[in-house]
Amino acid sequence: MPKEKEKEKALVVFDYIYYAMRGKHFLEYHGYETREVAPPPEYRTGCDMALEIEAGDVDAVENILDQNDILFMDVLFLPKGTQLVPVYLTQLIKVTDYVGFTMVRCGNMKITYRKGTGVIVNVSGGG
Amino acid sequence: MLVLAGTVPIDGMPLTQGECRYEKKKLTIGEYALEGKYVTLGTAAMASSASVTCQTLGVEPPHLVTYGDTGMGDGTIKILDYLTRELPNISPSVLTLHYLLPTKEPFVRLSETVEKMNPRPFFIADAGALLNAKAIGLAKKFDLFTPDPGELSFIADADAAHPAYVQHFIFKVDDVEIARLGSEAYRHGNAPRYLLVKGAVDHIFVEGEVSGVVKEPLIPALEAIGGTGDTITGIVSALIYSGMDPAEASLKAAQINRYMGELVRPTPATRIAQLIPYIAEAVKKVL
Repeated sequence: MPKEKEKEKALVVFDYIYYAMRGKHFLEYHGYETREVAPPPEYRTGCDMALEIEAGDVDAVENILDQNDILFMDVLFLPKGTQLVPVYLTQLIKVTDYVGFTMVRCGNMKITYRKGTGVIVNVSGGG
Repeated sequence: MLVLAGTVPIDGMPLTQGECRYEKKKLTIGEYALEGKYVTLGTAAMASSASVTCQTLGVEPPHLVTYGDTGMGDGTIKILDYLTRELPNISPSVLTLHYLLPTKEPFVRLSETVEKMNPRPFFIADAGALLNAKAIGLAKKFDLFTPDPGELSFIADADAAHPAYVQHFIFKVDDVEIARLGSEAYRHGNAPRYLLVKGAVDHIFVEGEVSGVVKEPLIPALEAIGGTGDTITGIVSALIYSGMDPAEASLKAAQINRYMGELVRPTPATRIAQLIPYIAEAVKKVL
């Protein structure tokens, strides 16, 4: 069976994670596939996330981001075969059990909720 | 003077600076007052705990520089620019940077200003300021970092530019790898002379070597309560400002924070605002 032709990718990089998260939401709402990745080191500002998209979608993606006031720093076209580190948040998740409460930790962030109701009673960490 | 600086997530709060005093449910900064839930938001929790500690020690109250920033970075720039301009006039003996968003040039300019001061203030970073200092290679310009294990694994990873991209598996860090990671961070130039690592067991490092640990009293609910790391940073800042040796101050701050918890007997639903008033009694117990 012939191997599916690898599609060319592009990367949208942002100054603030706030815009990256909003960008992902709007792009997926409009039916575009995205993947959260660590941006290349020269584009990192210390607390950021980039969105990998298909290179053919760049114009449409830029329009959607502009129309929704989502500021992005740059769009990079990636050479074929470029491997970026995906943000595997599931590897950073740990659950701690307390009497009456559950604490879910993801990286530095901890959210604690009351068992039964799911009401969040504390949020901790995050820098 | 003890100067504390960092943002609070309050939309529209202008650049606010001045002597800060904590009273129950109220933090005044110069003429400005934060009340109710705002007393313990962001850098305000650290400032409240530093204020209580200073009051208990009988030393001058801290001076807070803050700005409302809900995540867009404008407050961070305002604070850093203000400090760069005014620090030589304020001339603090201790300077603690706290919740700040990542930025390079303004942070570098502040660091250069601090470096040129004579006498140079004892320079502390926690939270966003700590992450930013490491990310742009300025860790050695500081004297003390107060990371939690997640932040420690970030500064110990010479290649990581974000806490989510560290190589170390974060959960093993808590109990067994803190000594190794603290040493690695120092060896790679990503940790200052003193480190106070806040965790299930608190570790104090001097030049990359563990100089002390604090295990008791163990209050598991403290880990779930937002702000319990901020209070340690406020307490240690005040103790160092009072003239205590930094390593001893780090050890005592970790103990005080735990006794604060023991006095309240918190659940995971307890708020940091309920704990802060007990810092005074905990300080008296430990010192």
